[in-house]
Amino acid sequence: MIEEALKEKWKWQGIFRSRKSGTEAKSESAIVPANQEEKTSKWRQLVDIFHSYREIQRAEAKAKPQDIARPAGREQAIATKFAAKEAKARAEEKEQEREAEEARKKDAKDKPAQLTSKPFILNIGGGSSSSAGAGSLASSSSFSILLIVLGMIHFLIKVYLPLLAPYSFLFSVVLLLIAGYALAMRLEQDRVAMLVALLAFVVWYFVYDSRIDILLPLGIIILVLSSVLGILTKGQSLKPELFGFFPVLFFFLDIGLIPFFVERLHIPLTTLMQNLILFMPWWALFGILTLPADVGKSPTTNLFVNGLRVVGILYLVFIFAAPNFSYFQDISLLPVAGEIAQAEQQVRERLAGRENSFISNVKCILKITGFTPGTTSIQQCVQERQEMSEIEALCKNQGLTGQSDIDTCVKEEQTRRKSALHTKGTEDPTIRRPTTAQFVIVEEFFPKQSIRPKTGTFSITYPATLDLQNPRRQSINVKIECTFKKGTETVIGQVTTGTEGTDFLTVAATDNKIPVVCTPSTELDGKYQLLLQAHLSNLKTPSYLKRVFLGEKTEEERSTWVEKIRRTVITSPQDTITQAPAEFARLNFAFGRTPQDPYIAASDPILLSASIEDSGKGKIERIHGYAIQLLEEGFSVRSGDITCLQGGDSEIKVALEGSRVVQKVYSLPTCFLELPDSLKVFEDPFQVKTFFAELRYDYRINKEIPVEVKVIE
Amino acid sequence: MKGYLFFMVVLIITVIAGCAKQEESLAATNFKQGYGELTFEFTDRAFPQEVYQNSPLSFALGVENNAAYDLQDITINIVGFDRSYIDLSPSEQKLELLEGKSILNPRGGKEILFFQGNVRALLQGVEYLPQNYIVHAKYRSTVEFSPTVCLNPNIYQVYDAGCTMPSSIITFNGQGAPLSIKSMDQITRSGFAPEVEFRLSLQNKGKGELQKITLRQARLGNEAISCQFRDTENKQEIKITLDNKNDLNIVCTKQIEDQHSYRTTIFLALEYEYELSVPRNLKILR
Repeated sequence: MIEEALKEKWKWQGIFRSRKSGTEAKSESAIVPANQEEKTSKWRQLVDIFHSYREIQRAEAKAKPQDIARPAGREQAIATKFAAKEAKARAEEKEQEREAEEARKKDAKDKPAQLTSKPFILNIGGGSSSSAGAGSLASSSSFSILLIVLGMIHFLIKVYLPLLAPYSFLFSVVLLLIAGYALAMRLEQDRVAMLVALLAFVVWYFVYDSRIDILLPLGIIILVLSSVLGILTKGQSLKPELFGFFPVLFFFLDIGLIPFFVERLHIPLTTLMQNLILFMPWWALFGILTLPADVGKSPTTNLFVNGLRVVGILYLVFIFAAPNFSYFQDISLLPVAGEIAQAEQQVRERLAGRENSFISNVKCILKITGFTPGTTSIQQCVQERQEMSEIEALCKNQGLTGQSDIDTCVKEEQTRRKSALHTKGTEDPTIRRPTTAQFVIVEEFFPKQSIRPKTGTFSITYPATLDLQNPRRQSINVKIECTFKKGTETVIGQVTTGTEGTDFLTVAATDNKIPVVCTPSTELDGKYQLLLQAHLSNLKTPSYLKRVFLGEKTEEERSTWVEKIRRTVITSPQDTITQAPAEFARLNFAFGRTPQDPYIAASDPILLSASIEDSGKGKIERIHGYAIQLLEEGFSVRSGDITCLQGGDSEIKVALEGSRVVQKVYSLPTCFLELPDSLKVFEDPFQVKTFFAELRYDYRINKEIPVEVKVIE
Repeated sequence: MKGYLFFMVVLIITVIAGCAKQEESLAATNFKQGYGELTFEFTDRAFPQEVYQNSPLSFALGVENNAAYDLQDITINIVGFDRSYIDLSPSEQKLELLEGKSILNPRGGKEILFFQGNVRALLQGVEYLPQNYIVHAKYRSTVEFSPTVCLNPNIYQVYDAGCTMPSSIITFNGQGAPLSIKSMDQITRSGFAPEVEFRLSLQNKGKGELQKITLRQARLGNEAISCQFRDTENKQEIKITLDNKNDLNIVCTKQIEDQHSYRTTIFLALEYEYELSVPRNLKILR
């Protein structure tokens, strides 16, 4: 080998000398490579030869050190030149290999290459992707985009198609798996290790029925298992396992973590929680957060994707920044017991109609910056918008279609909410089907605009339906009237109903759809307001109130027990005020040390106060009577007006027809009560009891519809 | 990857299948440690979470004593049901005694209590009615504390061949009851009449609430030692309030007559009243 090296050395020495002298070496043409590849290979060989040459020199130096007198500078220069050329050749070779690799990957549709490993949440538009190619990035982002699309569909189904709510759980499970896969691809983590977290959650949720007492021992087992695996894999498995909990968290949030906390752990439902339930498309958000920084080569696409990510994070910020909504007064809306998804659905139904707080915040910011008068703060503006949206939804749900009808309804509801109530009351959410009545018209068949000839008789009739829902099968008398008003002119209408052909009937069925036809008594000419009125008499609405009796206790014992009861039994302030079905009117009543205090000890003075609230959209025409059933429970009136517990017509003055007074609350007499002995002394630490009341009244509902009759020759 | 997955599955199965208690020698078991207390057992079938209106109601409540001491005068109530809808009679049951864990009864005493009642009709139109209630227990029990301590009247004596006093506060992991003596600090006052002072810190480690603690017995070796609760009128008894529930201390003092260090036992027996409330819910369906 040394001999060959020496021969080669001499050969190249000859070439260099000949080049220097300007002459051409005889065998130079044979030595110079024909193409680039050969040239590269040749240079490599030369470097090897040079190294061999150096070895020879060293060997020679050892043998005859005095003979080594060659200047090292020249060889050094040659070596440097060779090394530089070698490096260049290697670089070119690497470039060729990389291009070949990319082409191979493109053809074979390989698995995605490694992406950047920055935290996915924080990687907003920063950091470039690796040189793995657009194909692998696109397949990674495709899962995220799929998650966004499916997440939005899932969210819309939950909001607008409550009938499909039972399937949303399965949908969520599928999205969980997609999310796990998307996250693993995004973070370059081991998918199998990430499954550990998913597996742990599945075991806890399905096998152990999400029991809280199992959480700790199971958590310890998982922790030990993870630690062992972490040791075996030198810590490589820990990170993917931790990341695996992200999709699990989103899954739990999506299927109803918040109602779960309220139901199991008795955490009150605040406005923030309400917004999180209603307005958060969790899986879509997860998809946004797992999108890669650079989806493709197009800067527009990348900008769009990163913009989506920013929007997602801003959405989260606005949701968390939602202000308290004063209507609910920071009370706990404890969802009913039952399945988690069912609890969420029920809460959703209860809170439906409210504007997305993100949209409210954006619109209010725009309004504030536009210096719209009357809006002094974003918080006030958002509160007003939320309340208005809820009222509008409420009115639309009443079947009102015309804008003027809706506006009237909105104004009435706003007035109702602002009016001060002497005693508070609320609607009972457990009564899903209260007694309701409303006029319904079918636009296609209602002659809002009609034409009649000037001469001859031409009868125009106006059909409508009185939809009267009567789930408690009350015997309700119904009288229907209609009038046409134009300025001071009033035309009485003749009403016929159903098969009886009269304007008066008695209904007792649960579902009554009474056809009504209104015929003006004289011919109409011009624009009128058709006023349909239904007088419902003999209505009865129950209401009930819960109270807690503490027996004989000291103040300290009382405080201790009140605190305990508040945490466990009477967890919602709604439980301590009058509840009634959402009907036309209700009797609100309360008694205790103060009317608002539901806890009554044996020695407490008990003050009773009550009022009648017109909670419907019409008007109370007459109150036949009211009865608070406390005498039957053993209570007696210690002092005050005896009619505080029951009374009739003479006790209440209803605002007269035509009166400018809009009365929504009628106060009733107050009195002090005496507790029965059975509620003073008893063995249990405390007792809970519900008391009932009933209101009997007549009510009128209206519907105004603009009509026009044109007269032609 | 497949090997990794296979290994994980095998490990999970092993861990779950291997959760079996090893039998240990009962004689070597010290039951008077930890924070055992009265527990309730709610079996789904015996303790329903949903009932229908106009139907009978029946609860079978398992009551188990996991403490190392007998429980006495146990009163169990199921309270909180709305009397307008649920009539539970009787809603209270009493047990005179429930044995604690011991060599003779390693699992502790257990009883099943039955509560019967009726569910009344719901109001018309009401589809369901949730009911929150409490299973409440009140009982009386004792806890004993008897660690070995070193008494040394001459703490600066270099050539004492006896025991060594602890240099810092000693902490304990419970005495088998929810009322636990958390730590003990020993202070020796040397001099003409050497005296030792033990400062014991008590803590409620159970899930319920302490009502009252009474000091029944206090001995140092064979002799009585003067112990009292701090900041109470009756030094031998303390009623637990919101103000003092996190600051329960007993101070015991005694003169030391021996000149040399020696080991002995300090023994305290405390009687306490305890209340435990477990919230539950029931749904009345139409």
